[in-house]
Amino acid sequence: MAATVEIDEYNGAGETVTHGISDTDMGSTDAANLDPVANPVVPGENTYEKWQKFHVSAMGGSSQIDNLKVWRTGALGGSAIHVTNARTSSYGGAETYAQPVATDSSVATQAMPTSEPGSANLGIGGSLSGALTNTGSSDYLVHQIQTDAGDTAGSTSTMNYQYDETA
Amino acid sequence: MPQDLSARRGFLHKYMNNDKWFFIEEGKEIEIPLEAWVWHVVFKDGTDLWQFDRVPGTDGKRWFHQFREIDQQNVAIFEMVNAENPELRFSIDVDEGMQIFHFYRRSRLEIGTPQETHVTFYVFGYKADGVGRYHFILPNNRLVITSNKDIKLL
Repeated sequence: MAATVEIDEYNGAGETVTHGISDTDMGSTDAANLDPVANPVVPGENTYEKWQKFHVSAMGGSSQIDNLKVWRTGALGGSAIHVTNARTSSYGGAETYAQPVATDSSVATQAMPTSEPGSANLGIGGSLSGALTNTGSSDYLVHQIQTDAGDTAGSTSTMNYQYDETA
Repeated sequence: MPQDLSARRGFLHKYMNNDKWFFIEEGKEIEIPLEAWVWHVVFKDGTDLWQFDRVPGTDGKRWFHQFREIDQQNVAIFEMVNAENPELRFSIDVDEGMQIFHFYRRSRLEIGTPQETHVTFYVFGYKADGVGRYHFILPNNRLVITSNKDIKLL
């Protein structure tokens, strides 16, 4: 096997972890794999933040994972914005977990890229040039959608993840 | 001086579907599935090393080799070979001062949707005088050569 890499999500005050999330749908509740139809966001309000990590659960014969990238594809509805702590420069280092909020995120403050970033935008060990040489996790990826009162509900966008693996 | 490329004899050996490869990780033997493209190095003395052994060793097993097992100082040729069609290959003649590299770029696109796709680019090349030359093998087996490690291919 190649390295086993999954996306984990952290929720609640107690940092409950859900390994290998099946989607990253966002809505009005703090939960992994949530149903956005059952948990819609009122126009003008925000989704709950997502706190997620790349998790290497097995190296599978590989020796290093690095160069993590995340981005969104698909247009948001109306004037909504998708914000994140992921960035290719002025990276803020590894965030300390805090219970996800639906108020304006103080951690996710820059627009989520809408195409593959030109270099790593999520760190390992607090650095964009960091690497995992054994099982372990990346820094937290924090992101949130902030809507406008005039936005139309039901827009769809999806997340994309990328990493380099040295075998 | 011409290189002794005798190690490339039998080069067109094709991996078989029922072949298995093993690797010792944290004291445990694990099975490593074959990749679509595999590396192969020919050393200056004519010996060679395949990322996925072509023939079983004396223990009867085929072993998987990590890139860091390669003795970089003695590499004459580094090449990527298509596992299904070994006639399809890309080779680099390695000169003094060239540091070869190899990694996978793995992308997971549109996660959680019916269109979710996993894409692997096989990346190899060399650095010389501080400059990298990156070769990206695309899923359609075409090759892109660039000095930009983070070229956008999606």
